[in-house]
Amino acid sequence: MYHRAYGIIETLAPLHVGASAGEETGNLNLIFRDQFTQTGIIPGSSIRGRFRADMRLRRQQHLEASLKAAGVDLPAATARKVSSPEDPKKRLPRLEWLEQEAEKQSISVPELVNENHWYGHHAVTGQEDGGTTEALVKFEYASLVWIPVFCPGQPVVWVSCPRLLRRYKQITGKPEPVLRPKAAADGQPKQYPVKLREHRDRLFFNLGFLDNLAETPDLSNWVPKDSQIQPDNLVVVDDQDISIIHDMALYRQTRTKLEDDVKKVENFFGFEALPEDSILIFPIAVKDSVPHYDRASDASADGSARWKPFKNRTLRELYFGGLESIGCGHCEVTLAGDYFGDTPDDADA
Amino acid sequence: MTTDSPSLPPFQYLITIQPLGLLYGSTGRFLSPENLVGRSGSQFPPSTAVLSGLIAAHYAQHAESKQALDDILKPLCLAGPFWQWTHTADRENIYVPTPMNCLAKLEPQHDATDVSEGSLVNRLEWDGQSWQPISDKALGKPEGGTWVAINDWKKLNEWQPDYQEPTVYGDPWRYTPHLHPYLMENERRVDADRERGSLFLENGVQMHPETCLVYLSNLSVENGWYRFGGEGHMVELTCHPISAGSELHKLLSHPLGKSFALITPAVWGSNRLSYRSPRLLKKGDKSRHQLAEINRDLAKLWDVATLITERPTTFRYRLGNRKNQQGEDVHQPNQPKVLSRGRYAVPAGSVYVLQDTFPDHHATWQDWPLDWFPREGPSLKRWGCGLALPVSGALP
Repeated sequence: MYHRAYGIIETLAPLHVGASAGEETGNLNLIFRDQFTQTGIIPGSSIRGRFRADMRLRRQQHLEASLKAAGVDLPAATARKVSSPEDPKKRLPRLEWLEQEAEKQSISVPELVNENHWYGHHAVTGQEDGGTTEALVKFEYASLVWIPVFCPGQPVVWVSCPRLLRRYKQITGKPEPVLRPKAAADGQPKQYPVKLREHRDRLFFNLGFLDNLAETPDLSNWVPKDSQIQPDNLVVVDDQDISIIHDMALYRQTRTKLEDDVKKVENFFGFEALPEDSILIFPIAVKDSVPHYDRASDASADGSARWKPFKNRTLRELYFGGLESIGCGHCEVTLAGDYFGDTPDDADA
Repeated sequence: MTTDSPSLPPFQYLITIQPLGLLYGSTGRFLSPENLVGRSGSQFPPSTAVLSGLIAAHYAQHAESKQALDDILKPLCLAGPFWQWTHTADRENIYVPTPMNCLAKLEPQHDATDVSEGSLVNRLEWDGQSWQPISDKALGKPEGGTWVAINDWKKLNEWQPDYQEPTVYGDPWRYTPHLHPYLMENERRVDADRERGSLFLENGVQMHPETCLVYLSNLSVENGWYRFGGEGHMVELTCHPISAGSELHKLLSHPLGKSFALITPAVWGSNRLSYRSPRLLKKGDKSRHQLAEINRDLAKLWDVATLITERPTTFRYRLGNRKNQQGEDVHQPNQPKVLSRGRYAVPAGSVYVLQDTFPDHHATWQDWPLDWFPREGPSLKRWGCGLALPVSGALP
């Protein structure tokens, strides 16, 4: 049994999670997709890698502060590589150098900021059985809950489909049945659940019109309560239609590299990304050997460390995926769910 | 060989496994970066041994002593894997492998985001000499590996040419091999200088979002999130009692008669040799050979008239702690258990026709004695080997 928790990701910029550099081929960089809805996902291993890198930085800061307090001379803050004290020709990564110095000073790293403790130790060459340890915190992929679609002549509308909402329900433990397009009676056209700020009787997408809109005020319960965006134009379409609408909503760019001395294209590539203001959800399972989170007292009964990736907050800006240099990947992550002391009823707005 | 209990308690629960993300679709073999054959050792869905480990680990957390845990687990019996739709009201309508005497064809799929459907095109009947098709239309090669609803089991056996019912389904999952590159610690580039290699290809599987895996069990498990089936993947597990009036319950307690189909893989024979039907295991006769403990004199227990089967499938599990050369337990917590001996199993869907009907005290799978099953650790009946349902449709 694991403690349940989940994370809500809201994109503040286009988000491109696809094959990593050196792995993709050709010059069209696609995003990873779910097999059954053909909508974008963030793989669990990418989320774990981001959380791991984040905590690694905190561990490094902890080591620097502790060594400084112990009176050790630290290299310049910008030095990424440091000469090894034993062999000046050998250049060590800064963190490795800090680890060595900390060992000399017998400074230990508290579990709270030790990424290997929470997310599992990577394989170590030469150790029996690989040196890996089991992660105490496990992630699965993030799937879309709402994706914004812009069509000329109407405000931005956030779209979802029953399959995506089902996963949201499964992860958050929401009790209500999933809202889906249904026909009012046999032979009638399907009615699409919508919640719109201004009354409209038709929405336009590139596959055509949706004009059997059924005002459903409850639809706002399907927006995560922790969402910073709180979209107010919502529609649920069929599972079969989401992939084409999603494709229309994606952010696409072709980027060119010009030659250095003449204005001629030397190289180009195209990429696609989830648009900003998309809302995604991912499950987090925390092994039950980790004590339960109690917001009131910030300590566990037996003094063992709790998993607090964002220190004492549950909201944090993180970067996911690639192409950060051209402004992609900026996201806001909110942690919620049982482990963080939320009851399923809190998941509603 | 002694049996300590004549049989195991009957199945009382359906355990449904709904993935929270992907699942792992391989077993056994280790993939090295030099040999990125991600599909090697593909096996999906996970066998009952996987669920058995989950249940054992769950009860181990609450058991006071090893003895208490052994007492709980001793009567454990599981069967699977099966699957079902999650959006239907009938929680007990599970999908099981189609018996191999029913030839099915799947419709070409127009929408790749759905599970492929099809129907039967022919049925074979055993006339005492050979298997005869009941329809003389030649319809090309039938599909293997289809699934049929347990509620349609009757229709399956009464199928006549040109009936559209029952619907059969293809596998409700997709393989999605996923590369996990090892990135550099402070740059977003693949760390290509590692001695170990930096690419790991996971043979991931995604289940159709409106389906879940189902196993039968005679022990209940607490509902919740568990780790299941490799690579740290998480699932949501729920446990429902099987009601006495359900089709599933009726079929499980229906006498098998002369012809029956396996809905789970079956390992028959001894620990060393795999056979196509149960054999009685006797330790070898020392006067005839000098090999210690060899299993011989495998007397047949069933008089099989005929059998439709396919290539055998591999059957292996992990059980027991690691020991060093002195025989001391050196097992670390969370370390994989020791790999069992590999065996071959008669695949699920195989159809047997016997010369005689089973006697009353062996009328259903539940009544089959533990001695019919091989034993390594517990009897393989624990993992639902060769769970059989009657198929009247195999005989005219």
